[in-house]
Amino acid sequence: MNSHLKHDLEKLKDGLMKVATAVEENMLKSVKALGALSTELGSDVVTTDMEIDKMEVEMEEECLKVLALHQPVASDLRFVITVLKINNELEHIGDMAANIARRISFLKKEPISTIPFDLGDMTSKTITMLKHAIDSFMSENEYLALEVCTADEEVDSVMRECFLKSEELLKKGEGMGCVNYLLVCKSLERIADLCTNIAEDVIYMRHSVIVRHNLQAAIRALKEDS
Amino acid sequence: MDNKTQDNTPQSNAVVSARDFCVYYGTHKAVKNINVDFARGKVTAIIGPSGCGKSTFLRCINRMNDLVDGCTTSGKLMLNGVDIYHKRLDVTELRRRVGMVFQRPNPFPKSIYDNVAFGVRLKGRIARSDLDEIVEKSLRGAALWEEVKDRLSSSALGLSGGQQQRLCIARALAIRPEVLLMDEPCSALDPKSTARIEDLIAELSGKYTIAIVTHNMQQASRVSDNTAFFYEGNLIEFGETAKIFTNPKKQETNDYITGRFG
Repeated sequence: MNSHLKHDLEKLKDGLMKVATAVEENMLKSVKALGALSTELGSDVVTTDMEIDKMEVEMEEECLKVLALHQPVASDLRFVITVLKINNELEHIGDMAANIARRISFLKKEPISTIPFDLGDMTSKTITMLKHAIDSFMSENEYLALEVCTADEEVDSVMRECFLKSEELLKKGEGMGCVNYLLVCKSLERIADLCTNIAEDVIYMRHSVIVRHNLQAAIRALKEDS
Repeated sequence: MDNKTQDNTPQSNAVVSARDFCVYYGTHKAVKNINVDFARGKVTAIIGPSGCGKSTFLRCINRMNDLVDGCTTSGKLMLNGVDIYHKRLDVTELRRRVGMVFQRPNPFPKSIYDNVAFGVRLKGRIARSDLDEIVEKSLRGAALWEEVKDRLSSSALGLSGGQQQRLCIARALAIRPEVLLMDEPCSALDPKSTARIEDLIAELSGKYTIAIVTHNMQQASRVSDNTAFFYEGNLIEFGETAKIFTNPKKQETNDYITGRFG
């Protein structure tokens, strides 16, 4: 391979790793802030998210530069396109982490006797999905990516339970506190969706099959190539 | 590509078909058991590293290799189902039907008009008005008419490299070929002239079956409908260009087009 292209592709991978690390750390910080109902830590998350936004733009510019200068094809093209897409998904995850952090001040204003949902379970599932999604890209492991896609269904199921529980609580007269927690759950569920998108991008990068909206296609693609 | 397992019947829209086709230089087998169909009106790019047999294969399609000492073939190479290497085949007629454009433009040291009219005149006497019409049509077809219409009697050698190459294409078009072979037609041209030739290939596709040998991957991906990847005399992969350049089936193809070897 052209050594310039090789160098630039490695640079993209390193750059995306930095964005992913920043997003993952910020997400963990956001969950910590939520647990402690710390507005101070929450505002840290919001500030870091603005830095992540800048990193995303820089990464996108790097990808465009590689596309324009090297006009990559085949596996190299799929790699650059995947970086471009994952970069965007990560930035959205960053936004969701900031949304959770922003919710903290509302939760403090509208306290609730007991947290209505099993937030611990949902956050741990979502954090695992994020870690695995990032690892699947870094190690080019489409099987790990498939695990992420499958795990999304579990988070969706928790989210459905949260809705039902909220409905009950609202009927019993619980106010905004309940709604605020529901919005936190919605952000977590959205993060899980974005992790699934990353995993689908990894499957595309490895197998050149677009499996979005179709988990069965992902499973078939992996079976055919294994 | 498993050359042995392909169906032996040429596809119905195939203009050029190879079946178990081999080319030897003396005892050296330069092209090995090729099975491929070039579809009517489509542009096929032939890519591969130097010495992979792509130009050798291309030159067989109008039997240019007959001029090479010790060059022999086996298997079948067909034009519209007729064996190109049949002993009773009229080679001159074959070359009329299969035009060729080379790496470097090679206009004759004659006027622009006479260059285009050359092949037509060889076929026999023709009325001046008919010849004028053919020359104009061919120069228009090669996207050169507007640039030369006022100096048709000037020497072709006074044209720029890009114009000379388009003149050679016009010369090939004048004898109404079915197939146009292009052996690295832009390698001696600047980017602007290259773009003109590529535009021209796009205009000619549909009307002519075109096979183009190129070392320029971007050019192959831009101008062709199908791509054939040759390596060490074998046809490794053949398929739609969009697929070859996004998701080649063979690792060797991926490694070659991404510049990992060759």
